[in-house]
Amino acid sequence: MEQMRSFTQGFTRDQVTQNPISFCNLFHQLTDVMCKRKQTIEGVVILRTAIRRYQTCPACLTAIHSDLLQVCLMAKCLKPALPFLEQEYSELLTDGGQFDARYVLLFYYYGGMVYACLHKYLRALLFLTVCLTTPTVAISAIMVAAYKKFVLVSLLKFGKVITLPKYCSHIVDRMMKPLCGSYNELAKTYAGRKVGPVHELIAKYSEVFQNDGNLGLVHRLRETVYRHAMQRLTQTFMTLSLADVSSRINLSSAQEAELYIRNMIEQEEVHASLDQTAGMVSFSESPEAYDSHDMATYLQSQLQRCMALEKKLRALDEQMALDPRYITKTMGGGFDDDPIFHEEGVM
Amino acid sequence: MPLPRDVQQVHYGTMDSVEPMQVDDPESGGAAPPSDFTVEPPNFDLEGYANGYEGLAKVRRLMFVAKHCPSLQLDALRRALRTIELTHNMALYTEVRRRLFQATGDAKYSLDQEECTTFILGTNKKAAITLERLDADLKNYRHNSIKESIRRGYDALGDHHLDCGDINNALKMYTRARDHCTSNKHVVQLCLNIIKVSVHLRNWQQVLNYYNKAEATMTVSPQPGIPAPAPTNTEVCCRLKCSAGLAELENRKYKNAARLFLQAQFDDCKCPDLLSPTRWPCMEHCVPWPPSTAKTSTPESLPAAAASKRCPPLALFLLRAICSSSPPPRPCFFSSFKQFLELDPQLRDVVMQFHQSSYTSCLRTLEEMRSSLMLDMYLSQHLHTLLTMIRNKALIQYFSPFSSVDLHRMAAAFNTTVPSLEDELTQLILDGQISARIDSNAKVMYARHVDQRSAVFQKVLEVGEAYQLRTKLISLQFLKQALLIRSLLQKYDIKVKDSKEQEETSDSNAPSEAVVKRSRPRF
Repeated sequence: MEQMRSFTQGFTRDQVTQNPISFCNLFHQLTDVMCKRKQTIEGVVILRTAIRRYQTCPACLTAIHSDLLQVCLMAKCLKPALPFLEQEYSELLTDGGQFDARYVLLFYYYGGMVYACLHKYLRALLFLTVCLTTPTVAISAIMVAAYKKFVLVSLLKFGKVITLPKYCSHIVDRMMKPLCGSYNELAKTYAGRKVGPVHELIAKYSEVFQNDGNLGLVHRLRETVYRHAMQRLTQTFMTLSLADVSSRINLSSAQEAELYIRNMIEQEEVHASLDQTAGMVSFSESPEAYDSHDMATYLQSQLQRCMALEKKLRALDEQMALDPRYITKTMGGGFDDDPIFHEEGVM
Repeated sequence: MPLPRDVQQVHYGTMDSVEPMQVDDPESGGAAPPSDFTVEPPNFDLEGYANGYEGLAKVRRLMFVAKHCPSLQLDALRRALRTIELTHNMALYTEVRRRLFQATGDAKYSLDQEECTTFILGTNKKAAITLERLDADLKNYRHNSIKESIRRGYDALGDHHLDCGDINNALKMYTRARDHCTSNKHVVQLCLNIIKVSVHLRNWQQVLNYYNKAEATMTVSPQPGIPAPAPTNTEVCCRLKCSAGLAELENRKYKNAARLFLQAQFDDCKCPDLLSPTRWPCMEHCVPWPPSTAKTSTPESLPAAAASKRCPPLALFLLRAICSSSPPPRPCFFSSFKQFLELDPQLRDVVMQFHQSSYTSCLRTLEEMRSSLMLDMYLSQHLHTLLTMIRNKALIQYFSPFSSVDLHRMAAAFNTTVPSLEDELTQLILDGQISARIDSNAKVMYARHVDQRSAVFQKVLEVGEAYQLRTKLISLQFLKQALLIRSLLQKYDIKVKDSKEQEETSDSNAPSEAVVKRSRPRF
């Protein structure tokens, strides 16, 4: 350990570029050892310094990032990983042959896990989707695990599994169905919003979930199914007695129903009012009238953000279009086709 | 060549008969009630029911009735026996006899009876002789190479096989006749034959294929120079429609089935080997009611009930079709359907009541008819779904003119309790068929008017967020691919076990060119 620490503080960039493969392998092995020995806390610091020093710029993704995330997850100490996750990466450190696509996948997979632990489901979904949409012709175990977590997190956040983007490799679609059968079944049952069947299914497949290491997420799912069922009730009923609520959602008593509803009202997941004397809850439509100043500023900020993103995307598109390799490919070597040639402006 | 009626037999695979040609019914279970049920319908007119069919259809249906209705079992089996004795189908004969023996324990029906065995042997011999004769004839024709006779020979062989209960061979023979068809009429006839056999085999896809084929042939050229053009043509048409309708029914495409059945004409509906008129107007209700039907109800309902006696599926589907079409159906449908409806006054009443929105009596009558309807071979599996659909339709229609409805009165109108009505309505609301909300405290349902403005705002915000997420994803994807593309040439020589490699398949084009492989490098 001591040696590692001194090494990470001492190495220079030139030394590393001589032999990047063994450099990264060193850190991979270090991670393995630390995880086995459960000395992960110290490892966090070491890896962090290593990355900081190894990166040519802050926006540079290296192979060691995934190691850092792995160590953080093992140590259950997620804060140090966050700045690396928030970072927008625009470069991949691929010098030498040391870069394996596996580490990119791992980075995003672990990133998704970190965010899921922190209940930041939207960002977790983003990371997991990135992991799943990596171009591939073969299935990787990482992607399968990522898909399983993807299903669970999207159920937690949205109550249904959101569709993967179209540019996802078709292999993902084909292979995921047979490989993640229990998860797909869970998703289907969850869509029915009936608490009983969901719980049964969870109990049935609890071993599977445990083996995949997803038991924590699944437990959270057990809780959220109540919320989603409740939200469903708001769509159909205007008032409902608490006893009815508890019977429809399979809660044990009216008091528990009341507790749930109160929590949800506080967290603004439902718009309702409780009438304790009559034991009634009345659901109302969202009181948001979309005519306040705050709403206007919010809309404005969203618009700005969307426009900025669009500009960035357009820049990327242009960049790619000007790439000589792309041009030669699309041209197909058709130098005789003069109009196109001139249009492209390529000499 | 006219289709021999008495020889046609219908094999249905739902029975537990030991028919070797039996095809398992793929649709038992699921949403439909299990196939082993028993019903005791009051006032089920077995004789009337049986007389509507002929040949194997009759036998099969009687066996179905016998299976599911203990009180009518003996009668049904006896009739079946009598019908089978006229054919050469010994396998079915033994089966029916065995069943009868089991049911009655009467030694008269035992299979060890001498007369029984002699009868079976005799019939088998007769069948064999006929088969030989037909075969010899066919060989002769083939030798002489007269196409028409060859075709007829194959047809005759097919018919004979059908009579003996050998469905697969029948199908083979009919299909072989295909090469020798010289005119459109022949093609149509071939299609009809194959459809007939496929219905027996419950191969609905084939039925639909040949139906399409026949339709195409008939529309391509009008039948020239047929001895009896108009009747035969329409009869053929009607037959086709019935078979196709049946196939669609079995495929659970109720709307299509209804439409097809509607197109069958009453006067020409003479296909007792396939369908029989029984009460089918039920189906009619399943068709989504266009909003304008309230006024056009009377003319529609009458046609709807028409199919009752002659074509069980017909009436139901007819009505369904009527209801499904948003512009009011053409009058020609109505007149034909009206006649069908007249055959079963009960159904006719049901239809009229539905149109007049007197749901209580309508649904009550339907419930009463349910048990007798369950005895129909084709309908029993779908009956539950269809009746639920009718009920839902009624519920939706009931609520449509109101802005608020008292659930107590509604429950009374629909013969149900308030909690179960609430459940039904909840389901309909969640499916989006009713736009309302229930005030469970006061037991009132209020129609819900969506505020367009806030809905739009909400949608806008959602779309904005989704767009941002998607764009972020795309730009990340872009980045990732652009970076991954920069793989190194040395990689091609490196064999890495069980790890993924990046490869540049070609000069970078779109990002999708980059592949990540798990196996060894390609080069």
